[in-house]
Amino acid sequence: MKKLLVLIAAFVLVFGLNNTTDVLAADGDFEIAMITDSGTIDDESFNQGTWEGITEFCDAEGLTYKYYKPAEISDNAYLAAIDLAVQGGAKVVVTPGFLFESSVYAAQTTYPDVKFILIDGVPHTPDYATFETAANTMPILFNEHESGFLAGYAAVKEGYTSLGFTGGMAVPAVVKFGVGFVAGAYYAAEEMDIVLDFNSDRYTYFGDFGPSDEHKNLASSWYVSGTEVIFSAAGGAGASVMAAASDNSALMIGVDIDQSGQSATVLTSAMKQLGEAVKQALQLYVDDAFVGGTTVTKGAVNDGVALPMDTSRFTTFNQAAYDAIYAKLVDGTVVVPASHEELVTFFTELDATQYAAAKSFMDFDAPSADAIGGTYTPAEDTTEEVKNNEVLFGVLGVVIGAAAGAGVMFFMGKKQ
Amino acid sequence: MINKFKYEFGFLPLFILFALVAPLIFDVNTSTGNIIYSTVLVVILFSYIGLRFKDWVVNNIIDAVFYALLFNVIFILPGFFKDNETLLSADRFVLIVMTIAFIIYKLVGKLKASKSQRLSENKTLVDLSGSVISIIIGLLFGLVIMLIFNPSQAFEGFWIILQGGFNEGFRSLGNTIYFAVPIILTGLSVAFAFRTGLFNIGASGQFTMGAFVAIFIGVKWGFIADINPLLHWFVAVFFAIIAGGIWGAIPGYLKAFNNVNEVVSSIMLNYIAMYINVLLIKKYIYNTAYNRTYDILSSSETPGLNLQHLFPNSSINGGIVVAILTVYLLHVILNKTTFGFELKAVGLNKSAAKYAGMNSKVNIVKSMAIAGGVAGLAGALTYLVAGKFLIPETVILSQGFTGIAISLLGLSSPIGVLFAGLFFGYLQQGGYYLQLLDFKPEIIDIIIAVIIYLSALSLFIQKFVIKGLKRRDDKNQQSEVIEGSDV
Repeated sequence: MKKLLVLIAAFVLVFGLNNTTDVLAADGDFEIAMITDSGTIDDESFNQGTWEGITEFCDAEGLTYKYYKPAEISDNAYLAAIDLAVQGGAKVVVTPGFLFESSVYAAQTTYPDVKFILIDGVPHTPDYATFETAANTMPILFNEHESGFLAGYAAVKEGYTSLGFTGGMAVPAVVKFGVGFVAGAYYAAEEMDIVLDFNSDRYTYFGDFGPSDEHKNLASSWYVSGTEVIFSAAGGAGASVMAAASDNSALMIGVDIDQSGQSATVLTSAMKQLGEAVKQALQLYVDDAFVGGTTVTKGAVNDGVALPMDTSRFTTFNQAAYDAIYAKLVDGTVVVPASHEELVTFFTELDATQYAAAKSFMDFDAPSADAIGGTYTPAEDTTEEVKNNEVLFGVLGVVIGAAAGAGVMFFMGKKQ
Repeated sequence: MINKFKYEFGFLPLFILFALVAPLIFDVNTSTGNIIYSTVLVVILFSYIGLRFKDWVVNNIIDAVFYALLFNVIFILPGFFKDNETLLSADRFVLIVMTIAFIIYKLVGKLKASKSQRLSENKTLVDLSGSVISIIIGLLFGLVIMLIFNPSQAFEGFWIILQGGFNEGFRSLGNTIYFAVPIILTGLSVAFAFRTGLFNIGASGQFTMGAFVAIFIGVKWGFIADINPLLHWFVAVFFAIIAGGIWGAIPGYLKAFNNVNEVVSSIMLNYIAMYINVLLIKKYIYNTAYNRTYDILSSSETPGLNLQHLFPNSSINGGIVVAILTVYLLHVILNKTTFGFELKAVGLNKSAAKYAGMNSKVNIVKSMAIAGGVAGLAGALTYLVAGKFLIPETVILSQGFTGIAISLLGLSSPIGVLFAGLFFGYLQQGGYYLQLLDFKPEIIDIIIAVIIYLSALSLFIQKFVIKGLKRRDDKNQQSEVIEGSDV
């Protein structure tokens, strides 16, 4: 018993007073850290794209690197994972995806000496009240419209004339993909002097980013009515379009990363060069030229968008043609529209026949990025709306619930 | 009657008297005054409850005072000390000493309470050593896996896993508790059903239903918060329990009245819950921009109860209090009430229970409903947290299945499940900090899973423990006989 007490006392002294992090700090020697987003490291999406860039760069430069998995998917756990990465000796923390926005916002002030690379997001408070990027944080956004332009151009050059676009929601990134795609398709049509079968009734937003049978049915109906290629900028909902495409032996265009491995129906993918962007940012860090504080936008100029020419299933559209149009994007010969208004201007500068074909897009009542995109609707707003309708329902629910509870109690009591 | 008179008229007036008079005697608004004031009130209250419900809550006045002091140290004092790190540290120190002393006091008491002289018939000893041995086997197996994947850092990593929730002091300890809460409750759900002869494999489905209802109320029923902000959380939790209970009662009903095996029907109900969940989320509380549910209103978040001061920077909230209360409630129901006796009797032998005049069919439905309600509660406590969301994907939530392992490890007793759940959270934290070494997170998941599943072998290990203890008992008896013959 005495021994036990001594043991306990020692235990208490060692652990109870150890509220500091000194014990762990000594072990840390991973300079570049990545925190995984909600998926796994091989999710064929943001995690994988970013991680491949990091491994490639760090292996070449001889830097140590590691990825950390948060204990769960919540802001608090993301923040804890950043803490862990810093304890592990991280000088640069790479966070792929907008889910990290508020945790990076909190961490950037806690760790002023650590560099943060936030991909596809801008740091802000959880309630979207304050947006602030500290000097040690580099948020990276992409010129999605240029990527969409390349995809549209390539599809038409390949010989397809009947196209379609499905977006997840009319958030800025997706609108840019869609507008760029339309512009690219018509630009190619003008070069080849053909008329496209692509108008605004083949341009839609699903309303969410998850795969579902509804989305598959919609895509199927398009394919059945003659659409040859659908560009799907809809995250996970792209899988539904792929399924529809394989049912109808048609093709689709993937988004964000090279999706050619996911299905044989993927003609090409409108890529954001996640790995490339991370490599460039890490290069700045290695050169001691890391500049934070402002959002960096990656486009054709700095190799931020691309089509995966090696894995694309093109037969006529070749590397030379790709390089030619890419050069035009880089030197500014072609300025890709990024919004619906710019698309209208873009069309008016095009040839007259194309103008007629594209007319439906001119009148197209597409929700503009400013109207919908980015403006977050907090849950409180819904509550306000619901309040009046559901007060009665709620009170009724409470009464019924209480009655049920009392009934159960009574029932149990009687048995005893 | 006399006792009741004594308690009712002894303690309550004392409580009211002190509550009213004390502010006149000394200034309760200073921090010292406030501490004394609240401490005395809590002590009186706990002593009253303890003595009034003697058989259920505590056995003697020492226990009551001890609980009161512990209550103060955990929930009241940190609120006053929150700006003073030294006092908080002192408070934490006292808490650790008290907790360990309490556990040992209880354990020794339980070990000594055995009626039999023979060690092999001492149930507490057999249970405990079985669990400890199986945990050690699990840990050793984990070490072997670590040696295979990363021999150079295996022992360092093993030490981190052993440190578990202590890796980062009170922060990781808080996270240990936070992650343990849902697992304790789903484990409790499985354990309760198991004690009444049912195998509740559908805890995941009940968990999902509870989670959805809780989030729905948390998001939509803001008007409750207008009546009283505290009410919102209670209503959300209450309806989550009801939802889980209904989901659990369905297989119970099918089992009792239609003789459908509850294993089959509750597995099916897991899938039904999963798809209904996706459907309902998309229909009512779908935040399309993020492909998840809306944020719950802050009034429906689980209250922190000052624990966030005691465990700084951790995710801990008051859920652990609910979990412990539920553990205690089910412990009392199972072991101290006629109702619990009936449930257990039906589980042991349905026909005998019926012969003894118990309504075995209704009892099956009731015990499944209670098990389901507890799993629903787990769902509510998991998701009534700021920054947590349900995602409408067709994946069965894993908590229910982890609950089965925890229930096995805890030997299907509520108190055992509490410790098994904490052990799980502890190991999970160990695995989390193992990321500091050169281990891939996926490998760590394998290591932790292996440790937990081997630890759940305790029932199997018990056989050997009993065998070993029997041999020892026999030897002791023999030597006693020989000594006796000498004299």
